[in-house]
Amino acid sequence: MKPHPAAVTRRHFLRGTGTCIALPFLETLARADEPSPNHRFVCVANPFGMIADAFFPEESGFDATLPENLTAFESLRGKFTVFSNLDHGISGGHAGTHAFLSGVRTQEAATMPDGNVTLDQFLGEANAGRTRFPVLNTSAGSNNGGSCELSWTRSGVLVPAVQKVSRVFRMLFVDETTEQAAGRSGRYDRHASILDAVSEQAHAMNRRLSQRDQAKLDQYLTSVREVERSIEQERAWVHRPRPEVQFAEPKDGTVTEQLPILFDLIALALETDATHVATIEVPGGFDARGVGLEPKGYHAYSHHGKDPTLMDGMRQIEKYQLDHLARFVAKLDDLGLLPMTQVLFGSGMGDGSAHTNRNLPTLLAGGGFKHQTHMVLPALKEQRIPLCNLYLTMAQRFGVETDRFGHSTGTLGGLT
Amino acid sequence: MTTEPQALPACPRGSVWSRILQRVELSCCVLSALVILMGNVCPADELRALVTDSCIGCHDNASREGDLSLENLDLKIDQQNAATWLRVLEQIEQGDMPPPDADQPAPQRRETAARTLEDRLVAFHSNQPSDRSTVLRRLNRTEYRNTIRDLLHLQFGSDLTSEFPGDQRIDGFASNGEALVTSSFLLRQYLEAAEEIVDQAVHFEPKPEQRQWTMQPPFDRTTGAEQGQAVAYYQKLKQPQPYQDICQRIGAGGAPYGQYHPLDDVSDQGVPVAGWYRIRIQAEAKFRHALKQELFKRWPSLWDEAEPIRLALFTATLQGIDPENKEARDFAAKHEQAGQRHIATWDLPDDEQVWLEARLWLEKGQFPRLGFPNGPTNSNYRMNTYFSDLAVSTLNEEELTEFEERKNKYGGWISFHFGESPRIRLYQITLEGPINELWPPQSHRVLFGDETYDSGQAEHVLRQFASRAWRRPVESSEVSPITKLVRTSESGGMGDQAAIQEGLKAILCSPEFLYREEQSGLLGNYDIASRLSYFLWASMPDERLLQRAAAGELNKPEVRREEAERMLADPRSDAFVDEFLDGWLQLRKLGSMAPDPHRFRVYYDDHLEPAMRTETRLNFRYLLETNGSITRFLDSDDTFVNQELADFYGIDRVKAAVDPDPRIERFLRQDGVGHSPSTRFSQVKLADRRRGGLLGQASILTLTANGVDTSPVIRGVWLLENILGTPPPPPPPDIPAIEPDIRGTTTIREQLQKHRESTACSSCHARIDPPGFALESFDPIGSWRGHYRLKDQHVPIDSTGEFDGNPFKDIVEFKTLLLKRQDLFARCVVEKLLVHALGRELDITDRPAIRTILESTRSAQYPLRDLVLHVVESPLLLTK
Repeated sequence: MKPHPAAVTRRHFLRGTGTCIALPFLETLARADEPSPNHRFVCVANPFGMIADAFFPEESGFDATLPENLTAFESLRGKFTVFSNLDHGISGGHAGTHAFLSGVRTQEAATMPDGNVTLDQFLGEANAGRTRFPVLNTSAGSNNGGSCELSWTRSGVLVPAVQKVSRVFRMLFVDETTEQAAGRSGRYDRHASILDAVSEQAHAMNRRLSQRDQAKLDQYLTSVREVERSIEQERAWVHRPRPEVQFAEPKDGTVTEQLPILFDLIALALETDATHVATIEVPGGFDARGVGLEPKGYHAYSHHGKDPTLMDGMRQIEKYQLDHLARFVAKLDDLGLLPMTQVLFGSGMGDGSAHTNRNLPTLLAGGGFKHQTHMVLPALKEQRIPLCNLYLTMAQRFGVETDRFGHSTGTLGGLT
Repeated sequence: MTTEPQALPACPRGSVWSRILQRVELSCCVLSALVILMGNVCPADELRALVTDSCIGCHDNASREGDLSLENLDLKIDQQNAATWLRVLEQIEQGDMPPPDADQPAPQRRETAARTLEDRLVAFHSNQPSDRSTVLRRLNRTEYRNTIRDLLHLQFGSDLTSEFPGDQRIDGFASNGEALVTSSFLLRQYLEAAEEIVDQAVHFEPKPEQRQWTMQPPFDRTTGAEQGQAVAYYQKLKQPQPYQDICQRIGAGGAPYGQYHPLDDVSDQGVPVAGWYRIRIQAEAKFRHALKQELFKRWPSLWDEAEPIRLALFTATLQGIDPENKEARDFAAKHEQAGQRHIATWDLPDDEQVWLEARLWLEKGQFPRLGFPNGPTNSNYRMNTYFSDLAVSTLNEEELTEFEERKNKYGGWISFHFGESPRIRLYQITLEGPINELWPPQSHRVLFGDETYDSGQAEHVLRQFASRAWRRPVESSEVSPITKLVRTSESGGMGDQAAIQEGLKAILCSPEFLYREEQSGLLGNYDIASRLSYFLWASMPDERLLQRAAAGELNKPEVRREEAERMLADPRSDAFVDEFLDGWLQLRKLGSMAPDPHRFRVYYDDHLEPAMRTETRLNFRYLLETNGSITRFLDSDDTFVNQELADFYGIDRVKAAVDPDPRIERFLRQDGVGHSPSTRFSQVKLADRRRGGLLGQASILTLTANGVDTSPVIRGVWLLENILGTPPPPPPPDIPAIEPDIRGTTTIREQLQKHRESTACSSCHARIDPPGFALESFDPIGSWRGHYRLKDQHVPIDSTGEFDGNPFKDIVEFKTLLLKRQDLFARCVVEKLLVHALGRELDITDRPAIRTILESTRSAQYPLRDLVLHVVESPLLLTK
């Protein structure tokens, strides 16, 4: 066997340029103690919506009286807005909730230029390379009993959320050993070489295919390029230390045990620039016992059918979520992060008992917007404003140059 | 975006074709603008006569019932009227029109007209430029897993694809090329999986040494549940207890299921190397009849002394759990794990020590666990109460004093060990392995043969492997980028054994492996081989199928039939049963809306979910093996149950059991490699007609409910979609949803009644709701019920309705009516089979082939195996 000369592959070229390209984005690597001034985004969502009267204030405007579930937000007046009459104009009950953060159901994704990409992924793409994790998708527990199906890539794939706080903690704050890091580097190199080879295979195959099949294989080729890019980006982070934090590794637990910890971890991640885009799911596995209720499932409570006991339980589960959200927002405020952090709370379900996807509960805090406590948008069918208009406004505030998101028809006035 | 075309109220159905057509054409065609006089262009007399006699009365220009006039509709099919004609055809075929109260055309006439119309529509569409072909299909998760298994003769102790994103489904099936997307996320999973697979398959290292663990009681020191007993024994007899008991049922105490017993000599690290291991267990069943049943019934312990005591063997792992976190490790060791496998179950003879043996595959880090699947539950609480009651009469004075002391000291919960409760007594356990009769293992040999490998063989190895992985012959030049990768790796300093593995990984990540490339137009023989194997095995073709492809024989329908017969007899065809039912009946949804654990405790206590799934699969398998008529899916006088399901249905399993058909017998075992006759499924005769057929099966009734309550709408839609194949259009936007109200006295039926009064809803709900009403007699997990429990009162279920213009009073009468629509049902089944086999949505031009299948099986009432074989023989299978 004759030794082969080390061929210069496309890989070598990419690696060289990749690093060059990546460098300007790595400004946060040289982080001072101050958090970076870049924009941040967090979405908190649940799968079963909110009981309307406990969430939407009766009056509109800055001074609107807050309903029972929002009382914890009293001290944050001027820093958040609840929106009435925003939704995506779709139906389907549980089958429609996955569109919460995209406005697009998977069935129609193929007809959309960006598929059913969700806001977090969309912002994460724009942010790639700047932080260790372009997007961090987390959940306070298991999807047993119902799932938000919150985050989707532009190619239509559901991104699974990390369900354990211990894992979230380790990802964010625990460095790998030198050995692990070297192993990871080696793995990146090997994967990059494999991608070179299969990319050539794909081009050869492409020549044999019909036009429709070529369009299909294009997904593969695009994926190859995307993985190459993300490997380059991740490679830059392998040997960089994670931020040091004063926080012991948390123990995993039930949803009510994990949710407060998760909020703390995400705040810490935003503060230390470990990530700038995160989601937190309040999953169907919510333990009602944890808020002092008879241990039925969250889903069972959502099917209250106006039964006063069940409905009361549902209100408590919802209030619990909003209390912790308020604590989170206040914490970001204390850290000075709130003006540059957009915190969105909501659900792809409007009323869990009726299974509607209309008038989605939506609350936005921070982000430097001109907040007005309760903004009531037109309820009439002809005048309704898509929730995607709010998302577009948010994307632009985040710094993405775009004039559309999902089914947006423009930006949402009154916030800036 | 495209807007959903508004469905016309009078025509509330949309078969696969009409949905396509609606999308393509309806939006651009204005029906009322058609002013071509009927009869101008050579219409078939029968058809014209039928339309004139039976349709025009309502659908003329003046009345325009359902906003449809046929008065001016030209019989010459064109772009403008094709969609309308298809609707007419479906109405004629389905017998929905003329409405039941109008005069009906003679069946013969109906059929001729339908045939004429179909011929014309097919002729028209065949000449239309449109690409109907199957889009390049990626292997879905199941196919990927199975293909790897068969390609490399590999065993996996955990799911390789567990991190893969779920595949999107069209019409229930994850086999549609268009919907099987690839993302960077998935590609990274492929890269990771390839590492794992090659690592598992390739073994240049010397044969790993075989180890033996000889374990002494206590085997399980983690759970502590039975520790008290051992302590008491030692205190009393001043020697270690020579056995360990398992006294409680797996899952006692509810979810998350606990009461698994790890073997602690192995559990900490698991086995050091993946491979086959042999476990031997000396066990004894004790005190089966010790509990006084009548007393015990006061605490529903689930204990049934009629059953033998069973021991079950599972796998588990503590890998990935922080070794410092003892709490987390103990929890994981004791509780159900997502990736665990059930290896064996044994029925134990009473009061007799026996040696049990099993061979099990363990991944590195896995260990065996034991459990008592049918033991008494919640012993801590319930049995304590029981022994407290009995203590005075069963314990002697000394024991009683000790018992009282302990009860005061420990809260009493360990006390039941003093008594004689049913239990498994374990004496000795040994584990040995990895057992490698062949080294290097088969997976290595299929790659490298029996020779030692050196870099000179790289091209040969890669080409050989690619030919199998890509399921067709491969030229050397086709793998040159991969050969280059191996060479570059070598020159970069990697040893040749490591470098070749990079090449193998690349083959597993290559598009030729991940996608099923098919040539345009008429398929090649290798393409057909893959179509057959992925349809019937959800895996790659085997050697023989590839040989027949190489001989160019697979174009012949009789050869495909012969191969299909062979393939259905192979255990790999279980994948066909599972995948097809997951798609057709949405069986995979079972459990995704978990039943409320408080209202439906039995669902968990008795592990009904897997039993329900098995019942449906066995019914399907039974018809497949016996070539039985698919009408038995609609109504049947027998079914398959295990003891738990029999209890749930209220069937006396022993009395109702019949001798199972010999062809189904081998499928009735559910106990893995052990021996447990008591867990087998029996074929039973049903005493009445409520349960027979799919509509009485708890699996279907559970998956069409949401775990909390039932909705006639969901069940009705399910039936229209999957039984009659006539899915209703989606609800129009801006319809107020039904707000369930369980406070008062209104039943769901009364709430729906209001909904149906609205004209926008009534046309569809008149078809959707009645089948759902018939099924209201079954609760969210399929229990029979006569009443709703509303607040403070019981309201009788009203399961009456109207179907096809005929009234029915309950599910039994409904099924009688449904049986009359078996032609429609058969069409639905055939369409589903085709959608699954072809990986694309059906087209109107597929109709003649479907008709052929239906006509050749109608007289025998559509035997299932014949339907599958006809699909295999169909020319549709030969074109992309």
